Amino acid sequence: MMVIRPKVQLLGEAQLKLIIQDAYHILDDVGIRFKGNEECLDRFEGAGTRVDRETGIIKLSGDIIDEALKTVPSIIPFYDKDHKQHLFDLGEDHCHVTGDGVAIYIQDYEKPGHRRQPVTEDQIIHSRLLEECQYISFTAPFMLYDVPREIADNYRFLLDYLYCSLPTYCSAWSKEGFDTMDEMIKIMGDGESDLENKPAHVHPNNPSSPLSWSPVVIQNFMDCLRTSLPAVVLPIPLAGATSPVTIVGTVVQNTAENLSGVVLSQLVKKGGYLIWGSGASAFDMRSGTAPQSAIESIMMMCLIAQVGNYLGIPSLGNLGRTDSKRPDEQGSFETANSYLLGYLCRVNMIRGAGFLEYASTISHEKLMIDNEIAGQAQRLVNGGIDFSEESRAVDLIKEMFTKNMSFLRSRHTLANFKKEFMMPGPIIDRGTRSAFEASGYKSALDRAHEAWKKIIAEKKPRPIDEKKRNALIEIVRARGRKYGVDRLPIETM
Amino acid sequence: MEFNDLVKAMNDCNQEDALRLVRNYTEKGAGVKDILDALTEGLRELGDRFSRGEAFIPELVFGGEIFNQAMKILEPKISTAGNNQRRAKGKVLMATVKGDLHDIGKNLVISFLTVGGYQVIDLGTDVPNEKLVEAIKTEKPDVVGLSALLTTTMLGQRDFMKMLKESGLRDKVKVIVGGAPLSQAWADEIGADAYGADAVDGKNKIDAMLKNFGRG
Repeated sequence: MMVIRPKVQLLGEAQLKLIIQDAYHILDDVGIRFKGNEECLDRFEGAGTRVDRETGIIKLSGDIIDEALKTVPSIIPFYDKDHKQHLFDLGEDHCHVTGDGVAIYIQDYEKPGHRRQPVTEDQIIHSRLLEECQYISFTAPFMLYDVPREIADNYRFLLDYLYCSLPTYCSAWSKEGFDTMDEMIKIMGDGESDLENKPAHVHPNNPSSPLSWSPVVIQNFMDCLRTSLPAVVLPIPLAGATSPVTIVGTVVQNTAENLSGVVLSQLVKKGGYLIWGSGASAFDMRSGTAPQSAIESIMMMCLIAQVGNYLGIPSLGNLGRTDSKRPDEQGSFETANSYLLGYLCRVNMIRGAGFLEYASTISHEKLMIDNEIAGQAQRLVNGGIDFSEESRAVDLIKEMFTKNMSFLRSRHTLANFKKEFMMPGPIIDRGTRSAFEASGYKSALDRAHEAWKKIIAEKKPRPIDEKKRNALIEIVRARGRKYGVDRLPIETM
Repeated sequence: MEFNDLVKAMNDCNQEDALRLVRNYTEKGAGVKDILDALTEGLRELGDRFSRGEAFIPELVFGGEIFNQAMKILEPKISTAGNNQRRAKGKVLMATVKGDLHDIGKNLVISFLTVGGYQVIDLGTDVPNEKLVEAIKTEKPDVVGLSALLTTTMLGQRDFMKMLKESGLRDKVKVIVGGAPLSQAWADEIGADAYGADAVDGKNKIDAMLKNFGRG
């Protein structure tokens, strides 16, 4: 079978090389600041990098960058959260949609446009829904407000583990939080001797554009590499505010920031997993917001991913987030734009499902809608175009014409229709008018609401080993005690 | 009105013209107060154009920059002219918390405040709480604006509020917090006086606080 998978290259090889060359020049000439972490500066210095201890600025020569690029893996195999089952690969031609962990609000269907602070029950529902979302590959727990802020990073990680088996996109917010997370991952992979080669989580690390890394981010980044947790380098340059206003200028700066992460990653661990990320965004000159679904933002993130892919590193873009305040028409078309372009440009990790308002707000309904949009994008790129002789079907066309037969009666249709057509639903409505009227004139949003309610009512949560569950709860509870928590909310449900 | 050309240059964000006019007027012996009034009027018109959607953030930021540069030209005259100094609506101390290098939100608020007639002192990014408290003692601001973009650094705001209380300065200053991961609930939780959801909201909240505080 010959399947052609459509691909869009926004710039040619000559332009990509020039962008990389410009980024090399910036790192060699003015360098980049790694602030407040002596160990990191020691590592750079040990590798022959020029280091200014006072300012934290390091200057990277092309040779050091070239050397680091040689050892970054181009593919990362991802496993389920128990580290038992290989689910998929990330990198090269393999693209996946992920949830997103930055939300601090949730929007309820009953109060459109309004938002509130999420609590334990919201996370449980969302993780259970992600478990059932056929086209989303990573889950990502969000901010929870029914535990002290100091332990919310570990608590959401716990809940997400209990209710969803997909790999997690999740960050810790302190050294203590990171170490606890690492301890939890070891328990999740109970008895697995080859844990470091079976990753089930990724951790984002945000350099501060322009050209700076803050102490906590440096520490987390190095800890990711040390513990074999795939680390995302994810600068969020805002074009015109924290990077050049031009699209390609922002791509050059983001490339320089990512290359510095490439070098540090390989200094900490040769062959360590790294994901080449970007949250590059236009900057709205009227309101000061960072619209991540602006077409210019999508262009920048796709371009930066293509630079990463050219260098042979798995890529990530904050694509799929809508700037709309409600899961409405804007929300859907912005996500569709992002997913389609993301897949076509081979952004390996397309980060943002179920989000509203610059990713600040989670919505169960939007997650259901995005799942089906992701399905469409996957059909286009992963399904591709079967260009085999059988698919071109010349003999069949002749036969049907000669016999004056309907194609519905051919074996060819029966054998191939499920492969050729993605069957969306229940969100996308392709039914008849009479069925639409009988349903009570429901919108996609109404159907999305019903869909998730049905999943929660009818599907059982994933089975969890009781011993493991208790051990994980105990770890988070122990950390919680320092902040006055004797029992976690999950223990009282 | 005299000085119309300076008002226009400010409104147009024409740095070259504005600074040249300030120098010219100063050399000709014009009153510092009149020049300051023209600069302020130009900024006010620029702010009005922004409110109507006719001017944009880069123009607003640049307008604030021109104003600051004009003030540098006028400073020697201000000190000799005694009480001719522009009467600011209030004094605001701005900073990004320790460990956080992001400053775009903070800088936007500063631009809005400058255009809005406030005196702003910017301590920059990655500012330790001790330095903030020290600056409150020496600068005696009406408001402290504290920014944090990261979930990893926002906890520093809580530590600051604690330190402010312990140093006995809590009643002397209003505190407003802002940044992507924050919310009104967070401001309430740590005992800040206000939360700025965005730069415009931040400036409006400061206006409201100082009005109630007997200023503004």
